[in-house]
Amino acid sequence: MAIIETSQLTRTYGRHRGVEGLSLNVPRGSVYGFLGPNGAGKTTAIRVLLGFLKPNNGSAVVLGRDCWRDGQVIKQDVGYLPGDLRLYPWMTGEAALKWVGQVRRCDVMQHGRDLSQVFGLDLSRLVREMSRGTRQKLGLVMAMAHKPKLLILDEPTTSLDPIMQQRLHRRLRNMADNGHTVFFSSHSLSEVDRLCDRVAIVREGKLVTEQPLVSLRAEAGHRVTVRWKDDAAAEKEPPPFLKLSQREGRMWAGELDGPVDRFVSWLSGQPIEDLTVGPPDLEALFHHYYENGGEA
Amino acid sequence: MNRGLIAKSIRELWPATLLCGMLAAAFEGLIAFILPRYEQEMSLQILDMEFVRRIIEGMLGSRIADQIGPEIIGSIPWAHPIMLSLVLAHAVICCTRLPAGEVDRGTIDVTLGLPISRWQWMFTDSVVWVVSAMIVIAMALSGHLLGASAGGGRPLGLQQGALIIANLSGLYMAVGSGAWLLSSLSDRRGKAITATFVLIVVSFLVSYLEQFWEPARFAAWFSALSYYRPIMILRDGRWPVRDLCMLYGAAAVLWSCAAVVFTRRDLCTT
Repeated sequence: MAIIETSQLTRTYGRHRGVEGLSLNVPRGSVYGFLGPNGAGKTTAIRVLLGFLKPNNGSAVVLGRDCWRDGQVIKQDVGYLPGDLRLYPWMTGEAALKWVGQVRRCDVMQHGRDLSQVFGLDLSRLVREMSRGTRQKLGLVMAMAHKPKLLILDEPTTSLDPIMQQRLHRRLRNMADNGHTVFFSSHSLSEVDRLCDRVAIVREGKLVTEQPLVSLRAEAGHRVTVRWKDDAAAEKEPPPFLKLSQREGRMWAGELDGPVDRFVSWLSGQPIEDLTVGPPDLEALFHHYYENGGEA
Repeated sequence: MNRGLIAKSIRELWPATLLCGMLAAAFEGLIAFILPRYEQEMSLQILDMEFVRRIIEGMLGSRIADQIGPEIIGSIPWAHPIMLSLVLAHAVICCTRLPAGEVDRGTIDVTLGLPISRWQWMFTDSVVWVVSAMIVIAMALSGHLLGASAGGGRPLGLQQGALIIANLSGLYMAVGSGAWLLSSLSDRRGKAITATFVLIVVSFLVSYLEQFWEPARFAAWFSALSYYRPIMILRDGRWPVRDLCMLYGAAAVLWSCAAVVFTRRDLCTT
């Protein structure tokens, strides 16, 4: 069952673009990556999902309820970390956590303290004295302390150091394994590659593709290098599914379009000295989507 | 009402409430302490001067006719621009916090991300605001009573006090609700404060000018300060029903409009 479902969701700001005809389907218990370059409409989509913005058209349903009408009920089971996090400067970490518990009418202190330990966060400090990274950690703790069914994170790792990013990724994976759903926007490809089960890519407010990461990996090309045993073999025409970027003497280097086994079959029986096949080049694929919207 | 929201509002409002309340109390106390010493002198000499009389009429928002009685002296502290500035500053500070202040400092995303309705937030904040307003006005009244008893003057009687407080509260609510509406329409607290400030100054000006200038009388209908006349209360001792209806009615309408705008508009940091 989908925990987030949008259908032809459109939200624009006058002449400015927000999101247009966005249809998403986020399955329960998944880590869902929402990717796109800056200004692609990721934050706008998240704000519609949280009921901050009213859609111009289409529908947005979270946990089976309408985002605009039932925002209050939905948010009981949602944790949210804004992209540009600002907290009340007069609060300490402890007070912020206590305040979240009071507003949510539930005890979040114990789990909040556990999470603070995971992220190495000192709860006794005032928000105004915290660095950006520390505030981000506090924001994460505040969003996760009530063990939400759905966690919406808008570029959560922006100001975290690599060790904290790793800890957060482990935590998110762990949550998803326990049936929680994580929806997070990012423009970091490596992060999505490491963490996500499913990915949606948006560009200029429109959905470019939405599929499991496994399919994306299959779609992504592989970097290959072939070293031939003789000159005659090296001079022949490459197969149509291999785009050569380098051809020097007996060495070919290029990008493979499609599955590896097709290339291996083509090579069989030919005089090769060495063959290297790299992992799926997701970065190139993402760039392709970012720049061309998936069109060749 | 939500406990967390109440705690947050109290934490954010108490410094302004304490400061405005203490300043208002100090001002009222000082005036109540000093004025009786100059009462006779003012009556006989200063108020005989036409120009001064006009200025005081403008300040009090009423014609004081020929007779100079103790009610005029008694009403000065309650209509003095310093007192009104302190009380109305408190209203503007409190009422531009939501949503303009929250959007402006970027904290609205965090709070709206919690399971609260906008209506619940506005209502809770309004209750805390009204209570804090009562504290400021009560502190001003206490200052007046203390100052008057220390200076040997006549403090306001129970009924007079109640009438003046009701009238001043009405003015406060109308201005606060107007500020709230402007805040609901804006994403910048500075803009909401400036717009409210301009309206207050215009209101002051209209209320002042209507004593001398015929065309300003028509505009006075729209000026909140025209419905705040402590001198009439002190002189007549009657409930200023029309003024109270106008002020509280305006407050109710403006606050309702602010609530409708706040609950329906797009809200997020920009």
